[in-house]
Amino acid sequence: MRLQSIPLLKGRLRSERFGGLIFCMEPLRILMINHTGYEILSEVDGVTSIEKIVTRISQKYSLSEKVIRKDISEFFHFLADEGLLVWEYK
Amino acid sequence: MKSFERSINYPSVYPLLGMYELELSAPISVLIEITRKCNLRCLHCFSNSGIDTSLKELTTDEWKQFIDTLSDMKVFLIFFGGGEPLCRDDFFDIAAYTKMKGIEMCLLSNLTLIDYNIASRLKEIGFYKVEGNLDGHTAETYENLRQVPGSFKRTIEGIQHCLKVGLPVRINCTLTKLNYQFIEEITEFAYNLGVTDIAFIRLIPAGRGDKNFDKLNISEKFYRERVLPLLRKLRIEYENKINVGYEQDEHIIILSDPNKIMPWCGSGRIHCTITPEGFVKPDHSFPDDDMQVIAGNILKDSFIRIWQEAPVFKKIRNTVFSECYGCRHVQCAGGDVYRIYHHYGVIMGGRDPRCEETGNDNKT
Repeated sequence: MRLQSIPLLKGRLRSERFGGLIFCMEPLRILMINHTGYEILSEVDGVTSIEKIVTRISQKYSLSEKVIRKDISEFFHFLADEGLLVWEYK
Repeated sequence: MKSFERSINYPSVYPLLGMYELELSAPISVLIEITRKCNLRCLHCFSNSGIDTSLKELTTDEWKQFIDTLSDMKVFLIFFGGGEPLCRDDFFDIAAYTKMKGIEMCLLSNLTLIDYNIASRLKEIGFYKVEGNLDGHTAETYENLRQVPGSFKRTIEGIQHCLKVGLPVRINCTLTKLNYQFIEEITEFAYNLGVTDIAFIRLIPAGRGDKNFDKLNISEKFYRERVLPLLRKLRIEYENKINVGYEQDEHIIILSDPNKIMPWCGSGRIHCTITPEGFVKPDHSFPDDDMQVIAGNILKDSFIRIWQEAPVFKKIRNTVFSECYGCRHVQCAGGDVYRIYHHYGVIMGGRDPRCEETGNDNKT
């Protein structure tokens, strides 16, 4: 996964009191995520690169980009394994 | 602003979506019973459809306003059922509006009114799937239950038209005394038609299904000892040909929810049903005329408030039975909400009478 890649969520995202829900028809999946996961996925719009998402989140929470990059990478790989996220390098 | 949480795992409690601490802001899916009109007179119809057509059903505009609400609440999926949805002249108008609002749609139909043009329109509008019924592999078996001559042929044609236009079809087969002898034949027949999914479901003791329950139902003991082993065998035999589904099988439950976050019964927790008159119920099985199960009416109350605050929904989401403590089936959450209501006469009146751990064998 390159930092310049553009992530794209398959399915739809909804905010919930506990964080959020991802609902995907194909493959049929429902996944609960916490507030952090929801915050990150709210930045996934089909245009913004992973690098920009990392920068925005790290600035918002005043945490190092290195830490955020690792968390987001793990999160995105988890979602990709579930068939819920793809990314493309342009 | 919440501080940044490093963990990206699930919440700390055992997650059961739609229950306890994890109540949802909106349903994941809603079943809209758009009409009670029906061209068939099935002996097991849980909604008594096709008899009384004098109900004051919601108008086109009223349904569209409700679709707006569901869209605002970010409901993901709508099932259109009834009655037979295609009996309503404005069905395609309402469905197209729903798709325009970005909500996924599935049609629940008896398939008898679907010709090539209707199948094409369903596909074009954006239905992702049609669910129909095939309770027999011959006209005799099928029409014994459906009570309308010629309905078998028309159902088959409906399935073929859907498949021809590329619309996936799931077939439900309600198991009764009239057809359990033909499970293998029905499976083979569905496979040869090109259907990708067939689900064998139990008779619901609601509506005419309740009135005819003793005449039609196969007992719990018989289902477990004779029918379930056969279904398991067929599932293996037809692997990679047609997906054979059925109830009360732990392996299938796990496959359909690998993350183990869904309560086995989603009534009032992750989905609900709206009747043609606008009443909100936990699911389609519940009667329209028992006010203890009616959460509200969308013509009179805000649906958001009904979903989030109605006492009947709160009870369904937050009841824990002391007998269930320590049970390994956490997702069971007490059992099937309708079966409990039917058995005890009250919402969440006790543990599911079909509970596997008690070995109960009663009519529900």
